[in-house]
Amino acid sequence: MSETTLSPSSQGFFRRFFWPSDHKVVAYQYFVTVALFMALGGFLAMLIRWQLAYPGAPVPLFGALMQNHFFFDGAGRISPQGYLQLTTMHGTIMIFLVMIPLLTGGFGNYLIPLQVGARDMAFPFLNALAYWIYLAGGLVLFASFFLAQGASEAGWTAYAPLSEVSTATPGSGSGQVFWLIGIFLAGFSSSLSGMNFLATIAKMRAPGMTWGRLPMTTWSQLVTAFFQVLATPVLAAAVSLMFMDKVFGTSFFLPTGLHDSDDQLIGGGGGGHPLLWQHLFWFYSHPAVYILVLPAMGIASDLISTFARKPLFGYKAMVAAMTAIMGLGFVVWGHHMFVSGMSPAMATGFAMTTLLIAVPSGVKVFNWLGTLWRANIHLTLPMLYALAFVSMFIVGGLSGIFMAATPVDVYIHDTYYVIAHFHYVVFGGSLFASFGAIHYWFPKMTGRMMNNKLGLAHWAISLLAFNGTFFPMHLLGEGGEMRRLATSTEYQYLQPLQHWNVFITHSAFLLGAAQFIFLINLIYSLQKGEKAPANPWGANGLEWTIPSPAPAHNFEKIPRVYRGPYEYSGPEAAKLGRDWIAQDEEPPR
Amino acid sequence: MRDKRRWILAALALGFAPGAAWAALDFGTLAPDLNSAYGGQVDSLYGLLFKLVLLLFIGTQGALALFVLLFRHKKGRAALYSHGHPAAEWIWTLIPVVLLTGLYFQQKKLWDLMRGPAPGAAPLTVQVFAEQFAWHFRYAGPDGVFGTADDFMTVNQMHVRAGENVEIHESAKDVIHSFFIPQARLKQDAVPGMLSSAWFEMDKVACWDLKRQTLVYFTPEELNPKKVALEGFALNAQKKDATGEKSYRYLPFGKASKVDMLYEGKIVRLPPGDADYVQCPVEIACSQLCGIGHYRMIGYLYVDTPETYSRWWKQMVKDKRRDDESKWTGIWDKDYPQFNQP
Repeated sequence: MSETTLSPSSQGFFRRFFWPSDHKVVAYQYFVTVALFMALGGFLAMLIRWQLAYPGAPVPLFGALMQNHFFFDGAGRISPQGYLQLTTMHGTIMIFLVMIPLLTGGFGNYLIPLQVGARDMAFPFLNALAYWIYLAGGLVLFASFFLAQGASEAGWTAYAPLSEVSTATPGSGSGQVFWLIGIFLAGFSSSLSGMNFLATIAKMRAPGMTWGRLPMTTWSQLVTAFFQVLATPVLAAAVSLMFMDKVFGTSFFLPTGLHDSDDQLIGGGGGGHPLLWQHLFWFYSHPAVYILVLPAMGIASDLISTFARKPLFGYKAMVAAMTAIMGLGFVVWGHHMFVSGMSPAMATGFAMTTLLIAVPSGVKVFNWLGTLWRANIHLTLPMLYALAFVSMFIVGGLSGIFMAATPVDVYIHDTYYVIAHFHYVVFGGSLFASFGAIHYWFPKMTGRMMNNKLGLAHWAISLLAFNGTFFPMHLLGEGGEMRRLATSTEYQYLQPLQHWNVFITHSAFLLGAAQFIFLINLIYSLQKGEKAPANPWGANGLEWTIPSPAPAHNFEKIPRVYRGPYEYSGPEAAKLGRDWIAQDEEPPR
Repeated sequence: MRDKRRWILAALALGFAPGAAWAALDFGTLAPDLNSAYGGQVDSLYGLLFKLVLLLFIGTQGALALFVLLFRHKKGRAALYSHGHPAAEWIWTLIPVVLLTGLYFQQKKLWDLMRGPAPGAAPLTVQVFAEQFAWHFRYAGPDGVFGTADDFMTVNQMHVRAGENVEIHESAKDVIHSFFIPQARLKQDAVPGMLSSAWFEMDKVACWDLKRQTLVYFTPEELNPKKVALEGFALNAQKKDATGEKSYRYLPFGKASKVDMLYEGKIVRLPPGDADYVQCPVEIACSQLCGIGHYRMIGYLYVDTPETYSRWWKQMVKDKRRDDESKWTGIWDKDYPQFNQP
């Protein structure tokens, strides 16, 4: 390893912060960018909620400021087209620019080398490149808001032909082209990260860091990396084909006999098939759901074991469950297409795999509960978030069973039931775990602790407001309320549900406001947080054996690993008179 | 600090309680089911899943809460040093496998019924052609063959007979739409370039109770003693407040002194003031994002008694009703003649 990589602090500002070789700085780049995109995605969600509770009412403040621009009409109201842009871009941003990069680019980059005992990623250059490609993708998507006809409005799923035919809806003009480029870049970046993670975990583990001694966070990143490397290229292929359809006049997804609103024949030579897009898109995008949740499962496992002061229950089963989720995750995509016109016989196969994928998810929940059994639970902030993750993930997991049962799915497909389901998994699950992770590793990143009172307030209000926002969406779905309606009040049969929309909106505003507490805590703690020792939580992982904040080259000397990461309250620790023992501590006599 | 945290946990639990109770009041209520062929089975499968999930929910969340309370840190407490319990792990892996496999077969039976051919007598076939933002319906007319001059076509208006199987053959002109009748537990995408089909059967007629100004559903037999107006009334919607919630009323419309009314299984002419009910449609929704007007792509399905259906059918045939004919002859018949095969 060269001297420059060993001490990046000696590098110039540009080299250090714009083309960093330090995986931690790359992670910070992701964190900051993700935070900005999350603020944007969250703002879009607030506008969506305003429109659903008060359809046709001018949006306070922003409506007046942005009349006739972006999503607003001349009276500062959200137009039906603006509404579709809001939902499309909210979903796109939150999935491709926030959750995937947060969990992999952010936590993966920061934690993998620290947890395996390496000084950096296997391919630091690729790592720095991956970030910039991600940012480029994000900026292309962001730029699409400023196009004359606006951003894409065909939904984050971009079903053809709506997304392809520019006369079908205004956003399917250049907005959709920008969308395709942005997604291609974000996906490309994700694949590069995945390869890097695989190589790092496979080849750069410290001596003694056997597969059975890897922390769950790293295991989950490994499994996720397989998804990123194997599934994302299919997305790249799909968006490339759609790009060709749009720009070069091919017709991969456009059937023969397609007509526009003036009944004129369109679609190039025809011969394509709209369902091909759905198959290709979901072949990536269902695994993407696991990219969104597996790292969170890993994080939660680490946090729960640490604060239960007890070894993780069923380590091997936890790994096996993640591997099973990966295997099955590749063969469940068709459950998004039960009513698409796909052969009903295929649907029965996808129903089977979808039901079965509940088993490994269940195993994980039972093992977390097993870890808490007869534990010594410290209700620290990271632990509270991890417990919230488990609780919310249970709700999201259970509601998935309804969707696996095809006859029931027919009714709830494309309704708010689905919205409730995946927000419980991704927001209640992954994002709560991410908040836990931030509170947990913040001392390692900054050398300071996060403020407890602010953290508690954020946790409690967020959890309450989250449930207020997303639980009633199950009720809307049961009532048959479709997603992506600019207003649901046009339908007579949906009228009795409207009061829930109002309640949801108020909860969502509270949820949005609560995030400012987190922001304040972040800024305050960065400046004035209590100074953190190397190992403030009494945790076993290698990252806690080095000073806080972690030095540029991580480990002065590459550690030697003697045991797994979850040896809490064991005989070895007892010999040292405490309930933890670091992975690299020599066995006490 | 620990004491404070306990207070916050308690407050949170209390905060949850009223919300949960409120939500529970509404939970488990799907839109009314009028599909007598398999709607009840869909609902009971939903109910079964609901009970199963509720049990798992209470079990797991209960355990989570209980363990956190029981095993929270106290001075002198030491955690159990254990890496797992293989027997327990096998049990909680295999039980879900068995349970979910059973569920698979349970749901497959119903799925095969729903998506297989309609049982019994030949169903009424209605062609559905979706476009931004309207539903076009075509009936085969007296000769029973599609693509002939006696077909009749309507826009956003579909009629079926109560108790009769209906098969829809659908496609789309421009983008994907989804034909969704919540009360029929039916949803099927209409995809350009391909024909998809599904069937359903409704056994109740939707009526507006003029006295209570509310929607009610009756079987044709239950309708016998009631006076149901078939014309002369119009729906009036009034926005209640900024949330867009509306109140609905059916009000007399036009100046006719007598209107068609269904009474004791016959169509009779009676003054509008005699009506107890007005026949009204259930909504057909589009559940697949199809563009800017997606939110108002609403069709209307009238479930008819034999008498009201025959009244409507005769009217259509007599009028040679061919709304937006060019969509059918210029696009569907021209580009997809195979869709007209029985």
